[in-house]
Amino acid sequence: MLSSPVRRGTPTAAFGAGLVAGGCLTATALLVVGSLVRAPLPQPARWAVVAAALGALLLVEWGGWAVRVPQNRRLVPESVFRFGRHLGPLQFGLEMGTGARTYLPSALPYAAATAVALLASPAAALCAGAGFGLGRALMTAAAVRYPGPDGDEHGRAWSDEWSRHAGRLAVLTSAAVVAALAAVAVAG
Amino acid sequence: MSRRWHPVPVAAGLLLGAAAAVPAATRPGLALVGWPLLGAAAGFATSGST
Repeated sequence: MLSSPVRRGTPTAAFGAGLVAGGCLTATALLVVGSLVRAPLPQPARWAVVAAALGALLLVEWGGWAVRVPQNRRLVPESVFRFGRHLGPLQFGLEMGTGARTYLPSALPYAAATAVALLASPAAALCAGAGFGLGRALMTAAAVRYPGPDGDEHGRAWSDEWSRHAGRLAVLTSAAVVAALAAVAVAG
Repeated sequence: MSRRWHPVPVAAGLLLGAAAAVPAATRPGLALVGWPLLGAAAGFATSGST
């Protein structure tokens, strides 16, 4: 993917827009499903569920609980690029941004999804969805800006670094999720 | 090699941003600031290999 036309020029913007749109789409779906679940639950009970889910998912993320969270074990097919220079990357980003159409190698999105489903207003859900897309765009942008020693700019060097520092990165990203949830909590 | 975006500093930057959002979220007009950061941290966390 990182060696695809997504890497440069206006297709990059289309890819980013697709990521954000995909995140917003999933957040909206979570909001609809969550509205059915949250109705009988008072706010403290909803926070308790979010906290319990967060605790369990942190255990999974850090390897303390050998449970595989659901993910769609497939790559977005490169055939999406048949849609053209902009619609192809847009479709690619949309599928990747939903978090449901391709690999999701972390448990942390489920913590965000639980919070959106049980706590978010419509505006907050869209903010979270857009943030998810931007987070995935940040990953892509950073990966192509991390060339390997042989000039490889296709993300392999980034993936190698991620694997090398996986434990530290799990702690940092988990702490970022916890801090962001704390910000949501203090805002009421 | 200032162009190289190593994953650890990028993740640390996200954490700093989220930590800064905790006091900021109490200010008028910034109540939603935690949500995009929650999404961004979760999205960035999916960078690992499968």
